[in-house]
Order: sequence, then structure tokens, then C-alpha cells
Amino acid sequence: MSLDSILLTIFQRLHGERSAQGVYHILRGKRSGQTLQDVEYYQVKSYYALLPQLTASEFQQTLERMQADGLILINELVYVTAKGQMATGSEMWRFNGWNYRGREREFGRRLALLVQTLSNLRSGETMFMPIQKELPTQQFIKSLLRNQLSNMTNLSTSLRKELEQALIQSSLSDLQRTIVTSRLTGYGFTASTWEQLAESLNVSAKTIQLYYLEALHILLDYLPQQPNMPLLTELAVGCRVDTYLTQSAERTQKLFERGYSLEQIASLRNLKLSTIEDHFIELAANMDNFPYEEFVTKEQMVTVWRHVEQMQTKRLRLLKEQCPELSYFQLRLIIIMERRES
Amino acid sequence: MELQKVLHQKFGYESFRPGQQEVITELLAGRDTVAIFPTGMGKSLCYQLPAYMLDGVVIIISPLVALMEDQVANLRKHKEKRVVAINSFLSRKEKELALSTMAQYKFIFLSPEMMMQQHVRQLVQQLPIAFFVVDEAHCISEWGFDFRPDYLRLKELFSFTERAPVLALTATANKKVVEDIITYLRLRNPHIQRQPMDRPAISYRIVHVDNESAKTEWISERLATTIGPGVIYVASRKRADELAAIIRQRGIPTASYHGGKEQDERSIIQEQFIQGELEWICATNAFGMGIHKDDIRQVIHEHLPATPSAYIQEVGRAGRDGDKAAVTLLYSERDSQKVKFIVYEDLPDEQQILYYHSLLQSGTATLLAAEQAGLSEIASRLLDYYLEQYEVENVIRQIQQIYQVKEKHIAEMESYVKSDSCLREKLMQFFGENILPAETDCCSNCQNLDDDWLIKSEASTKQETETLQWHERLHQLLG
Ligand SMILES: [Zn+2]
Repeated sequence: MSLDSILLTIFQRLHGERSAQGVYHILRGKRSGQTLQDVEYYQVKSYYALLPQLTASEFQQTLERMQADGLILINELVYVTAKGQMATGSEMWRFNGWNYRGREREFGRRLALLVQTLSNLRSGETMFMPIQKELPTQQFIKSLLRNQLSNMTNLSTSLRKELEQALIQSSLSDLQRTIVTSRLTGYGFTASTWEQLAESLNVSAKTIQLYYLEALHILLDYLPQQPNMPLLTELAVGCRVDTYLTQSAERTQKLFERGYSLEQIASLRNLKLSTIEDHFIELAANMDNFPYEEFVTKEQMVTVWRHVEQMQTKRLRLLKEQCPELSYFQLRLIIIMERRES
Repeated sequence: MELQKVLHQKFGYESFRPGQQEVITELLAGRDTVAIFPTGMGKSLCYQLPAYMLDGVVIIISPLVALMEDQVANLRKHKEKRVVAINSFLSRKEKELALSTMAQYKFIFLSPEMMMQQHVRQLVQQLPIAFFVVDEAHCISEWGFDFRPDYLRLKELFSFTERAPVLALTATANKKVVEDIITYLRLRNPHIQRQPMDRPAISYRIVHVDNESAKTEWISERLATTIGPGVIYVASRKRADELAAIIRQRGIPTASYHGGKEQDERSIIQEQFIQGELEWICATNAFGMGIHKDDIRQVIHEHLPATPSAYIQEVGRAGRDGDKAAVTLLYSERDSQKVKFIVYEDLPDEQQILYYHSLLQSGTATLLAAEQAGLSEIASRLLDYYLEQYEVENVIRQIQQIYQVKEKHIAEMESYVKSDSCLREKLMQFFGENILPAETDCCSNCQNLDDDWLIKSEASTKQETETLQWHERLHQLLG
């Protein structure tokens, strides 16, 4: 498993309907209408904002190598070859990028600092160089500890119990348990670098980093159902996205709820109609009870879905040829609603 | 004596290191002071200790965020909670919070850009200030190797008749640079405390090789037969990774360290090096600040540093415990060309200056103009500063002077590597210090090196620590 397999999975889901650039935006978590719509259309939300630090050149190099290896074909759009399909592998990634968007790393940083702090304090060592340099992380841990009633040794044991239970019960692989614990520093113990883990586990460093990332997602997904994990739950505060809408879409939503029409909102907000339409697509993708009936009929939806099924495509231009009476906005809405219904 | 008591109680030391007491006494008497201490010789204590003997806050102006964070961490380690760093890496909210609560702190670290913002300056000037500290003060001088135009604006801060004393700290400054520090910081009849640059514990070596692969070979052989802990300075991130991998293959615990690694990785590597788990670090010049490790036995350079100051700072990380340390500079004929290329890349040429100026004149935004003229961030800030004060012709002249200074520094380094007289003597001369070659263990040119202490014994090869199961590891960490 590697970045290759992630890219291959995404490219397959997009079945040749998007450029490499579109995939780059997905991985980086670009908050544009197009990208947000793409992840919804093609069911790749779990990969959204997975690698916010991915550089364009790194991405480009990976693609070039994959093309040279015959895994993909790039011809403005990206196609996965038969060899690429074989190489994708059957193991499924269990990312949840959509919900964390890079903030899972803050959970990892807090965990590392809390473990280091408690490990030192319980051993009577009060002077140590914090392994996390970021001020917000340090402040977070400081205030967390300030609000604790029990002594540091008990707290340390509680954290160990919580971590142990979480690592066992949250369906991590054994490899992931090793990786997560190896990234922890404490009294008399240093953490391992990615390179060192790669060497000792005989897996590439890049892959180990992805496993670690996935492990953070799995842990964060697991925690909300656990009433008996106060410390870990506290560490996870704010790591999950609380609003899925862009700010601008949120403003549109408010006006829509107050009864304004699409056109009215556009003129009120002094924005282009197409922008407001983007917002509505975003709303449709994220709201539980989006009133799609105000824009399309049930029959229109069924017709479009049938075309999607028959033609095996979601490309708007092709669908528009089949249903010229529908606007692009209506078509986009119908495709989004298909995801939501299924 | 009072000073001794504070030294012991607050910092746990029995005695001062040379020069510290003089600086502290002068500063407590309210006198501006310039302290030139070689790296790792207890510069920070010169402001930390008097802070506890005076009322009011200490304002520390520090040019690098990494350096600032390190100083803050260090103070916190000594149980000082009233410390804050305000720099451009804080979010808007954090910055506002820090600024609005400034009065509760004892130590306030500020970047020069931040310090010179109008509202920050006003807030600072309302505080009861014990004294100011300008860290890395040599950055103020165009003659210095890491000139920071932002520093020049500090003079506005220190021009007032009534102001708290200023302590200028630096690890390296020749006469010309000290003059610049005094002039630009508007220091008044300052006390100048210069600790000798020469570190008797360090012995110097130059090894001439034919090409890059010969360097790799020399390093592999050297590391197989001699002891660490050590640092190898290389020219690029890529090379740091590559060389570390080669050394690791030889079974020597090594990691690369550079600005391209994520912060977590850098912290882990530092920690492992300090704990003695890593024997060698292959680093770019990003490595050094904030490394509190006294027992570094070797520093090897496989590229030519751009200035004697940079070189002396980097080798100065060796042997801080006072025991012997060996430093080696590997040189091949093409190295000076390479360093020239890197150094001049950041300096704008005449055409770039003229073009940038004309863009600004026609109302183009600074950032855009810099991009169009192909200027680096450092270069554009440098030009902004000069263009504010001088006509463009004059600016070109100024930049040409800087160019000449850099050229001179590189020439000095070239003359160092090509010298056949005492290396220690030669290096110290660049800083205006006249010393005699050491009787023993001086340098490869004096031919009086005794390297027996460097030889690695068979037994010193570290045992692999057994890898723990993950739950065992958790138990050991947290109980
Ligand atoms: Zn000599």
C-alpha cells in the first residue's frame, strides 16, 4: 500500500472523467465548488484533504513514474490501465479525510506531548524539552493537565489504559499499533523516525506515514462512541470538522432558509448565479433534508439516473445531450441526490 | 555575593563562565553592553540572570523563529512561566492575546518585524522595561554573513534619550561589525565584552580530495574507524539524505536533518542524538540552533562554508564539554565555484534592481514586483529598505558593496583551505585575533595531531536494543 494505491483508487472512481489536477485538489483539500462536488460525485470523500502538504512537484513526479510504470495513462484526463487495476490491490484504505482534513495530525501531536509529559512527570523528571514545538499544542496540553484532579502518576496509568484499550478495540492492524506507539516519546524512550520504522518493519517510509495517518482516522472515528475514555476524547476536541460548508455557502443557506430564491440570493449577495448554484450543490451534498423537489421532479431524477447507468458516465456534457430540457444545475443536483439516496 | 546566589538558586551553577559576570555587572549598572561570546559559551545567561535582579520586563529581539522557540523552551525548562514569543507564526488570535497580556510576562521575545509594527511598538513602550536584548546582533551589519534589513530599523527604537539599557549579543563579530552594532543600535559608550574565539579543545584539519565520490569514501572510512557523536555539514537537503543512507548502510546509527523534514521528525532526531542513540547527523546549516549537546567529538564539513563566521559557528558546536574535539573540512577544487553560485543567487544584480525600482515606481505591488524581477524574499526586503532611503544609483552601489563583502568572505575561506601555515592562527586572524599555534593537537598543517583518542574501539559499537512489543512499550512509557 502506498500513495500509488491511493491515487489508483481515486483515478478508478473518477473513471477518466477528471484531470490529474482535480485529484491533486482533492488530496490537498481545496475548498472550491468543483472539488467539493467531485468528491461527492465520485465517492472519494474519504480521500479529501488527506495530504494537505503534498507539493505539486511531488505529485507530478509520482504521476510521471506511475505513467512510466504503465499503471496510468495521462491524456489530459487520467485513465487507469489494466496493469494499474491489478496493482490497486484488494486491501481497502479506511481513511476519513472528509471529517478531519488535516486536523487529525493535531490529535497525533497532542497525544505525543501528553504521553511525553506524563511519562516524565511520573518518573519525577520535571525538566525536559517538549517534543512538540507548536505553541497551541503546548497550551492545549497545559490547560488539559491544569484541569485534572488526580495526580500525575494516576493520570499516566489512566492514559495508558485508555490507549491500550483504544488500540486493541478500534480495529487497527497490528502494524499500526506498533507504528502509533513507536511515535511516542517518553522518559528514557525516544520515538522512532519514519526512516527507522521503515527499516525495522521493512515497509517504505511513505507507506508507514500513510498507515499512521489512517490509524489516526480510525482512532478518531472510534472515540466518539466511547464514554469511558475521557483523556483521549479530550485530545480529540476540535479535530473533527464541525461545519462541512464553506463560509460562503453557509450564508447562502441562511438566506435560502429564510425563503429567498436562488435568483434573489444571487442579487442580494451580489454574486453570480453560477456561484449560488455551486452553493446549492454543496448544500445538497451536505444537508440531510435538502428540498430537491423545489428544483427537479422525481421523474427527471429517475430518467437521468437511468442514463448514468446505461452510459456508465457522469459527464455532464453527455448527459445534457440526452436530456436537453434540463439545466446543468439540475443535472448536477440529480447526480448528487443519487449519492444521497443510495 | 548576591550574583552568585542567584546563579546557584535559579540556574543551579556554582560559578560563572568567563565574561558572564562582567557583562551582567555592567548591565545591572545601567550601561549598554556588547557581548561577543563564541557559540555555546553561555551567552543567554547574560540576560537571563540580571532579569531576576531587576524589576520590569526584558524585551528580547531575536531574528529567527527557531532560535526564539528554543530560548523560550529553555527558560520554561528552568521553570520560568512568564515567557512569551511573539512572531509572525502566531495566528492573529494568538498574537492579539499575547499582546493584550504582555504586562504579565518577564521575558518577551519579539521578531524585529513584529517589534517595529506601530501598535506593537506603542504597547512595548508602555511597559516597565528592565532592559532590551538584541540577539544575534551581527545581523544588523551589512558586513555580516546574515544581514537582516529589518534589524536596521531598530535604531528608531533606541534613539530616545530616556530608554532602558541595551544588551547586544552575538557569537561572532569583527571590529567592523561591532562598530556597526554600536552605530545602528545607537548604543551609548557601551561596555564591550569579547571572549576569545579560539577554543583550545578543538583541533583543525583540512583534507584535499579530488571529487565528490572521494568525499563519500573518506567519510565512510573515517566514520568506520573514529568515534562520534558527530555532525557532518553538507550543502543540500538531498545530499544530507543521500549521505545519511550510505552511512546507515555501514551499520552506523545516522540520520539526516534539514529544513525539509517535518517538525516532528526534527524533534525526534534531535532527541535521539542528544540521548546518544544516533551517532552521526548529516545536516544542512539548519542544524545547530537549539542543540544542547556538549559531547560532540567531531564536525566534518563536506562543502565550503560561505564565511569564516559560519564556519566557526558550526565547528564551535564541538567539544563544549571542554574535552578534545576534531573538526575536518573536506575540500575539492570545484567547491568554491559551488558556494559562489549559492551565495550570489540571493543578491540582486544591477538590472534586477533597476527593473524592480521601475515596477514599484509604476505602482506595481511589492510582492508582484519582486516576483517579476525574480527577487528572493531576502533580496526584495533588502532593496525595500535601501530604496526607502537612497536614490536607485546609490542602492546599486550599496548592493555592489555587499557583493564585494561576500566575495571577500569566500576568498577568505579559499585562502583558509589553501593555506599551508597554521589553520587555527589563520582562522582567528579573520576575527582580528592574533594567537600562536597550539603546542599539541593544533591542526593538520602544524602536523602535531595525536588522534589516538579518536580511534573507535571494537567494543564501542552499540548493541542493538531489543524492540519492544507495542503494549510493553506503552507500559514502560506510562506505567
Ligand atoms: Zn596549527
